[in-house]
Amino acid sequence: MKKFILACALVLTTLAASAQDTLTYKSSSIRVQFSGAWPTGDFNSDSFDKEYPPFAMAGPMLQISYLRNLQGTWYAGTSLALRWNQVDLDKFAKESDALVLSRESNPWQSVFTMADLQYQAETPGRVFYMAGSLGLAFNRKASIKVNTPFGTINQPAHNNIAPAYGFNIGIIEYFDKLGIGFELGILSTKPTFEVTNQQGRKTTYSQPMPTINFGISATYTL
Amino acid sequence: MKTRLYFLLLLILCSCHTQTDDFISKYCPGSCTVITGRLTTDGGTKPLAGVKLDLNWHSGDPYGFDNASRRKAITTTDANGNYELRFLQRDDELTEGHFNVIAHLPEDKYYFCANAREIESFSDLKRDTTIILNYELPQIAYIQVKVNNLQAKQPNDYLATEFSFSAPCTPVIVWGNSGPQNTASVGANQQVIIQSTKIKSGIRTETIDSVSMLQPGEVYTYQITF
Repeated sequence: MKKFILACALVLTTLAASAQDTLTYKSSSIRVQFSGAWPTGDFNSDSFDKEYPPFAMAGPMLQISYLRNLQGTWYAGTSLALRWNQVDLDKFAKESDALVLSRESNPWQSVFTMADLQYQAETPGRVFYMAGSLGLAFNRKASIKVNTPFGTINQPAHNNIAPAYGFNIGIIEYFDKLGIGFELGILSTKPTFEVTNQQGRKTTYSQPMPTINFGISATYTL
Repeated sequence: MKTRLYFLLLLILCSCHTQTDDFISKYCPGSCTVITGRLTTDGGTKPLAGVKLDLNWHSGDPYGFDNASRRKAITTTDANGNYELRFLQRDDELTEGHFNVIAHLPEDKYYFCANAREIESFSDLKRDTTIILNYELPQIAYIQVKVNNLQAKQPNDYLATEFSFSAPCTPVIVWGNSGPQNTASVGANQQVIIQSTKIKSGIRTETIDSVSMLQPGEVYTYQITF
């Protein structure tokens, strides 16, 4: 990992140095991005050993960012991201299970409002960037409802706001003011949710919600 | 010959063990079976807190074909050693196989009566039933027993050493002619009664001793004479 970061830094520094005379993107821009969000770590768990495993599956993420040049190749801005991750109900109870009369679920949902700091290396017509983000995430726990002949398993949704962070790298190819790019990143938050078990006992637990995101972006330079 | 080999291979493949996680049972929606109780150690004086307990169901024949097991419930003991395993039995589990409770403690430090950290096994459980299971898992100390004059033991003679302490089962050493020394795992932090029964030339004698408060992992040497 260390080697990878050093290699990235070296590439970016080289590109930045070679592009000193051709900076053309010192303005503000709006970026819209559509990604796939793959749950990782604990968010990906379907372990029986966890009291409430999240069963989260890969899902879509939509992100809108506004960036403004600070100085040189540093940019700052803000972004809004919406992320959905469905529940893998088959891992909870298959539809063909003799005990399942019906089942339904709603996805894990997060709305991220982030402040972004971006460093970018520019060559004519092309930009490489690394960005870090800090902010807040408005999270909604997935709900699960399974009806059985013996009663209903009901794990309702619950909302919680928690700090969030992100890190991403990307490349944008510019065609005049419009740029098309690819981005790879991680976005995470750790909200605390309340659950009530079948006996009516309430408990709270913290659920890390990191995803690795990869998607395509469209950037318009203002 | 080739066909037979393929058939054998197919049989071996079909006989694979399958384990499934039964989340419907884990979040039992009704008609639950409950196993509840307290886990203790050190002669029942100290609660075992924070111990993970698993309840699994295993189909009838562990060596048969289509061998299956299901994870049914999981819990962790509280500060007082109390626990509750709540689960829903499926129809086939009411009539077939057995359930076992597993305590996730190191086998080299705690005295288990069965293999694979099993503390209890159940069959013929019913729905809507509560079973109380208080269980003691002593920490392990060792008593190394040396027998003097064991070579004098004749085929009709008998020598056994039994260890009694607070646990669901206790060890017995029945001495053959093979060796004059053996080591038994016993409960630490409590009194252990050592009872030796000797039948020599038709005369039966019994000796009883005790040793108290061995530390976990401690090895105590004890001698008897045949």
